[in-house]
Formats: sequence, C-alpha cells, structure tokens
Amino acid sequence: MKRARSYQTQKWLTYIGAYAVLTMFGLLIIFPFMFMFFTSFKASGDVFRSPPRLLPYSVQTASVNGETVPLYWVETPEGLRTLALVDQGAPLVIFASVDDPSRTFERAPRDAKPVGGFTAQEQITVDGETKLLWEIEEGGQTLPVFELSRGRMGVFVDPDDPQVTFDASLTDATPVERINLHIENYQRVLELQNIDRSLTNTMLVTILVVIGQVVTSVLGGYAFARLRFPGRDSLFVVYLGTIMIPFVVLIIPMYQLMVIVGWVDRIAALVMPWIFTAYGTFLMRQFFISIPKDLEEAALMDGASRLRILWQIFVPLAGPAIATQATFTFLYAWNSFVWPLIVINTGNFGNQVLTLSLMVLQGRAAESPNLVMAGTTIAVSVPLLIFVLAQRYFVEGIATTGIK
Amino acid sequence: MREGSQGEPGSPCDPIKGKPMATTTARKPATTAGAALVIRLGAAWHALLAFGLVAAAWALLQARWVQRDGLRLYVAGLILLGAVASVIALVLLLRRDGRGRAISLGLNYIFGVGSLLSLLGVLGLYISLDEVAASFNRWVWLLLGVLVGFLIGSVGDRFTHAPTTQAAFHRAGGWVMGASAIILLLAMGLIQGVIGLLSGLGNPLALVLLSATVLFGLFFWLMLRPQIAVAFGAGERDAEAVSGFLFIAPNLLGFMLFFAGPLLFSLYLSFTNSDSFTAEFVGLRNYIEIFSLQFAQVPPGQRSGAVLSSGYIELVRLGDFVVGAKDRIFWIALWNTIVYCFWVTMLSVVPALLVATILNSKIPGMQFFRAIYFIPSIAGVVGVAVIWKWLYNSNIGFLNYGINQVLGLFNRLPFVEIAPVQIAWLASQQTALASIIIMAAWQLLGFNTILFLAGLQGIPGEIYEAATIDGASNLQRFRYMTLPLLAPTTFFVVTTTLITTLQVFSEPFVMTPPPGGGPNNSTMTAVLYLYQRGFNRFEQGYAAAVAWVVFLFIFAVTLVQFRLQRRYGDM
Repeated sequence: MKRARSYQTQKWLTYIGAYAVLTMFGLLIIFPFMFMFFTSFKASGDVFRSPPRLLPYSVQTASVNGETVPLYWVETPEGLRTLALVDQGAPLVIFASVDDPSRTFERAPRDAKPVGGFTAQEQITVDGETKLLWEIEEGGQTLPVFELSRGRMGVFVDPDDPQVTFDASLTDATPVERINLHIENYQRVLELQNIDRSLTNTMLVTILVVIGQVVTSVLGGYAFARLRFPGRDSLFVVYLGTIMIPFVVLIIPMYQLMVIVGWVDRIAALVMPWIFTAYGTFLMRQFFISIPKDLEEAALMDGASRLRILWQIFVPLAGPAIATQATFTFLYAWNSFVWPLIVINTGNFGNQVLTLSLMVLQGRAAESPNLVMAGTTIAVSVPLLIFVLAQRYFVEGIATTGIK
Repeated sequence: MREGSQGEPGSPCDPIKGKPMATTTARKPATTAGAALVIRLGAAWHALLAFGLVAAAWALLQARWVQRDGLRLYVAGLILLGAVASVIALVLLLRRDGRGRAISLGLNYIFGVGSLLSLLGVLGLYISLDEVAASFNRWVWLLLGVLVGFLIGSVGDRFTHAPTTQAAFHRAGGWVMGASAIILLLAMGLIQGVIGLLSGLGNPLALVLLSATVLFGLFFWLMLRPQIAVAFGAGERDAEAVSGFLFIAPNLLGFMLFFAGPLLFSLYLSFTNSDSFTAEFVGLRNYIEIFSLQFAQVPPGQRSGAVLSSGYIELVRLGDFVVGAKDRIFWIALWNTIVYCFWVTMLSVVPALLVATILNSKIPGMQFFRAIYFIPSIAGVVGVAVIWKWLYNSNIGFLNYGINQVLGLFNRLPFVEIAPVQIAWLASQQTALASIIIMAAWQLLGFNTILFLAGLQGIPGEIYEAATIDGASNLQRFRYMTLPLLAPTTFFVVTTTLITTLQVFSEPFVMTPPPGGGPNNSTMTAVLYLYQRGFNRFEQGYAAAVAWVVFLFIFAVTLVQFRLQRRYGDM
C-alpha cells in the first residue's frame, strides 16, 4: 500500500515537472505571436512606451461641454481624483531651491526673474552641471533657484461638474487607461502599401500552385508507381536526386529565363515554375505503391482507361495523402519570399505578394509597429487557420517524411 | 524505347511475363492499306519537320538581334537535335521499326505541347494572370461560399455511424463548393476572358502556331491509333509505356524547363560575366576571383596592406601572418554561414530532442503542446523576422526588458548589484549574428520536435520494459537505447537542418537594414552575398559562380553526413 502511494506521488511529480518544462517552452514559443497580436491592436501613441507593455491600452475620454477630452488621475487636495483635461495650459517650469535642492516650486516662466538680468545672468554649478540662476517669490520672500525641468500646467475639471476646475502639472498627472482594441489598424494597413491586393494575390498564387502541384504529382506519382515504361527507375532516381539540389543554384538562371519570356513582374512567374514538383511526385508515388494491385487489374479487365482508373480508384483512396501534400504546398507557396523578391523587382505593387509587402511595409512604416504587426497578423493568420483545420494532415505528413 | 521492337520477328511473346502478346504472331505484321498510307504520311511529315527545324536553327544562328550567345547556341543545338531525331524517326518509320513510332510520338508530343504553350503565350494567357489577380481582388469574398461548402462537408464527417447522412452532407458540401467556384469564375470574367483570348487568333503568328499545334496533335493522334500500333507490332506493354510517358510528361516537361535546363544554364553562366542581358565567356575567372587567397608574413612595424599584392585585402591576421583575399566579403559570408549553421543546428536539435522525449511520455494534453510548438514553422520566415525585429529593439523591445526583469530579481539578493543592460542586438556587430541565430533556432525548434516525436513513437515500448526489469536507470535507457534507436531520425533532422541553414537568406535580409548583411558584414551570409552581387550589382555571372560554390559546399556537407550515418548509424 505504501509502495503504491509513493509510486503515485512519483508519477505526479513527474507530471508536474513535465508540464512545467512543456509550459515554459510553450510560452517561449507563443510569446512573439502574442506580442504580434496585441501590438496590432495598439494605438499609435502606445507603441513606443518604455518599459514595454503587452496589452493594448488607450486613454479614456469624457465629454465636457460637447468636447471629447482625455481623463487623468490627478492629485488634488482631496486626494487622487479622475479629472478631465480641458486645457493643455500654460508652460510651467519646475525650480529647485539653491539652498535645499529637494524643495521644488512650480512657476510659470514669466514669474521667475534672472539674477543679474537676461544679458549677464549668473550661473551656479549643481552636481557638476552649470545652471542658470533665477529668483522667485515664495511666501513673500525672494528665493534663489535653478531650473530642474519643464512641463505644462494643465487645467482639469471634474467631468461630472465642469464648473470645478483644478490646476496641476501635466507631468504629475497619469492618464486613465483601459484595454482597448484598435481594430481600425487593420483597415489602415489594408489600404497602406496595397496590402489588400497582396493578400488576394497571395491567395490566388497559392490556390493555383496547390492545384497545379497536386495534379502533376498525382499523374507523375501514378506513372512511377504503377506503369512500366523504359527508363522509369533511373528517371525516378534522378527525381530523388533533385530534391537534394538547393534552390540557390537556380535563382540566377530562372530569373534570366523569366526575362526572356517576359514574365518579370508578372503573376505568371510566381505560378508557372512552381506547379511541377519532384518532392510531391515522390510522396504520391510512395502512397500509390501501397495500394493493392487487384483493384486496378479488375478495372483494366473491364477495359477502363488508365485515366479513369486513376480518377475513380486511386484519387479517392489517396484523399489523405493529397490533403497532406496540399497543406504542405500551401505553406511553401504562402510563405515563399526569395523568388517573389527576385522576380517582382521593379516596385510593381499591384503584383506583390504578402511577404514582399510585409518587407516593404516594415521599412516604410518603421514609425508605426502597430500597423506592421497588423500586416504580420494578416499574413500569419491564414496559414494558422489552415493549420487548425487540417492539423491531422500536417502531423501525418511530417511523420511519414521523418520516419522513412 | 526498347519494348517497341518486341513485336518484331522472333519475339512474339512477352519474354518476361510469358503471356501471349495481344498482337498478331505473324513474322511481319499485316498492315492495312489505310495504315500504310498513314505511315507514309507520317514519314513525310517528319521529313518536313526536319527540314523546318534545320531552317529554324540556321535562322536562329544568323539572328543578330538575339543578344545571348550562349543561350542561342544552346537552343539551336536543341533544335538540331530535334531535326536529327526527326530524320531517325523518318527512316525507322519507313522500315516499320517500332522505335520509329516511339520517336515519332515523342517528337510530336514535345513539339505539339511546345507550340500550344507558345500559342497561349502569344494569345496573352500568362500575362492575363495579372488581370485575373485584379478581378480576384474584387470578387474574393465569393470564396466564402467555398469555405461554407467545405464546412458543410466536414460536418458530415461526424456522422460516421450513418453513412447516408454522411454522404448527403458530403454531396451538399461539394455542390456548394462547386457552385461558389463557378460563380466566382463567372464573376471574374471567365467568358469575357476566353473571348478576349480567342480574338487574338487574328494575329498571323498565332495562326501559324495554331496550325502547328493542330498538325502535331493530328500526327500524334494518328500514331496512337490501334491499326498503326498493330502495324508496328506494338503490344499491351507498349500501350502501358505510352500511358506511362503521357502521365509523367507534364511533370517531366516542367522539370526540364524549370529545373534541368536552368541548372545547366546556371553552370554555363558561372563561366561568363553575364549581367542578365549580355554574357561573355570568361572561363574560370569568376571561380579564381572567389578562391584567390594570399598568405604573407608581416615584418614587424609594417602594415599588412604593404605585404599583400594589389587586389588583395586583409581577411584575418594571425600574429605575424596575414591572410589576404581578393573577394574578402565572400569569405566573411562563408564563415558567417558556417557559424550560423553550426549554432542553429545545435540550438534547435538538442532542445528538440529533450522536448520530444518529454512529449513522448504519453501525458494528457500532449496534442495541445505539439500544436503550439508547431506554430513558428507555419508562420513563415518573413513574418517571424518582422516580429523578432521589434522584440530585439534596444529601447522598447521585450527581450531587453525581460533580461532586466531577471537581473532585477538577482539584484534583490544581498551583495549583488548588476546594472540594467541595454543590448543593441541587431544594431551591434558583436550581437547581430547571434540575434539571428537565436530567432532561427526558435523557429526550427518546434518542427524538429515533431520530427523527433514521430521517430520516438516508432520505437516499441516493450524493449524499455525489459531494460527496466534488468535495472537500467532512466539516463542509461536514454543513452544506450533511445539514442541508438533514434539514430535514423536524428540523421534526418540534422541533415535537413544543415541544408536549410546553409541557405539562410531571408532572416538577415529582413532583419538588417537594406541591402542587408550589416552591421559591418557581421550578418552577411553566402546566399545574401550571392543576391547582392546578382541583383543589386547585376553581376549575374559572378553570382552564378558563388551559387555553385555554395551548392558544392552543401553537397559536401551532406556527403560527410551520409558517411557518418553509414559508419555510426547502427551503433
């Protein structure tokens, strides 16, 4: 009994340890996406805050005399209160006493007089820094002071009773903030940099590439798996070998080919070269080869054509394999960057795809990360949606490529 | 096509399967008058084709308006090859040799498809994809119908116990999807587009190509007729071979056009000074420039520049010795790529193995974590790089903030006082490459975890039980059982990671200011350098040479990997 108990305890400890590690890794993985998602909803004034803050906040407002004005927490004689800022107010200087720098005074600039006049104002040295010397009136006495910082004196009112006004330094007031999603960022980013066109271009290119790849690799995979023709096996070995050849060797000649056929800056260049795939053909062949031969032999006896056998027997059976290939092709086509960058190169924004627009956007909208992140969220969310819908096929696909 | 000749005298039977062939067993197959006429027509067609091709090749070689010498020779050579094949087909057809029919089919197919594709090009089909994209932008919301259809279909998947309901849902979903797709196509102007394309047929070039397509198609079709096949003694196996080639043809043509052809062309370009419009053959000059290194001893008190020959720039200095290179940035880029590759592989493979081992312990909720870990690899490099660029921001980035929070915790301990840090990450020469390495490892980690997990799940659990009974500790089981059994997966993971990381381009390109590779070349990688030479400076011949060097380097690394796998694979 005691042994069983300790076994249970040990098991629970293992569970807790495992979950701790997994959750830590999970947070590490997911945090950049949370940052992206929340930043995309931030107001433009909220993005350059230091220290950074994850959630999107915005200043709350109230309506005073028909005008929309921001709300602030202000220290008043009656304690901390929520007040509306109705006037940015006059400039204000914070002075510190020369005798006791911890004593500070807030004054309008005109209320301070330069010691020795403006032309030959006297100076003092405070903590190694040279400061101008001023005089202010305090309690009927003249006090020598130096400037500590500048701010503004705001005029605040009680939002419920606009007759009651308070004067307070704006630097001491903290804005009243609330979590607020600025959905209009998405609308702005879609108009900016032609992103809505890039989005539909990417969709179109991806759809065409997926359909093309599935068709050519189903046909090719069937031929490699089931039809005997001279040179088949050596051709298959060549196909396998090409999977190892990196795309970098093809960049330059493919670009020149596109120049020759006049497809530079054209959508055709993003689609046509990509509808043929050695890898997909290989995957399809591996799947078709596992289908029992009796099925097609019976159909052949009945005089069915090869195309009909493929369409009516093999394709329905290959549903999961085709779905796996389609999801992977989708990801590659959606996220491809190097080739569009090379071939859509003269700033033809009408034919850009999302990855390119994102690249341009992050350069142009460097001052508004909220918009950049809205664009990134759009680009990332579509594959994410596909992933959620077709998760099974992703995992199966990886498992089959990995184990073999 | 060897099988094509099997209907010839002496081999009436299929030698392998021993089945009687479907053809006649006569020594010389009987030929009807019609078939004989068709064969003679075909021969005449090949004579005409050969003549036309020779003329075309001659015209191409004379054409001064084609700028690219190498390409012109290449294409003219291919055309002449076609002409030779056509003559061979002609001779063999007349001798009733099955191989003649095979060559004829192949030639007619290739040229038929070629002229069809050119015809579509002349009619403007490929270019019109731009307009398709524009109208797709307007009507994209109709795709929602397709999505609805898909969802209806997937609702049907829940009714596994009621096949009729399931089928009904699937059918309804299919109808909705199909109808939405057709409405979308019509809204996008499918009919107007087809009419517009057809109206281009008035163009004389289009007419020529159209008639060529029809003629090639006609002779291809004629040669496929059963009577003709019988005349050549072709049997079932030949029919199967023909279908095999027909099925593989779209793939094979694309492969030739967009892979094999460009690959050869790339090798040629690397021996030229091509700027994408003109190219002059320069022999090995590009490669010599890339690999030129000079070692020299620096006398004390002298600057290294004084001892290096002109054209050489100091690469590294080791004490009294200096290494100079003609193309200094290439060597820096290569070194950065190797450093990047090593660290990303390390940082993404080892933790992935750890996480996969934990995930494999069959605790509840494993699928959830697996899905989370997979997200970075589906998000795409550009999006991820854009996000991380902001995380790395030295003032408002979360990375510095997080580090300072942790340092703040340490500061609470007695006698510890660490000043807050403000690391410049991407903006500093010391940390820029490391920043990119961390991000890339983060992105690959999840993918590698899934791969390892798949491998771990392939290991049967019984052997562990046996080892546990024998008293093996957890660590011993991991070291002496899991690791060796997982070796094939590890090999696969490491190889794919190496191949991917050696081609790194997008990360430094997106994360460092244009044209990328900064600060001070600290994030310059081999492919980024290739891109800058080829597309910023348009020295495409040189860039092609760099590409081949990178390719051969990747190939060598993979080869070493395979060797290691073979030696230590089954430890």
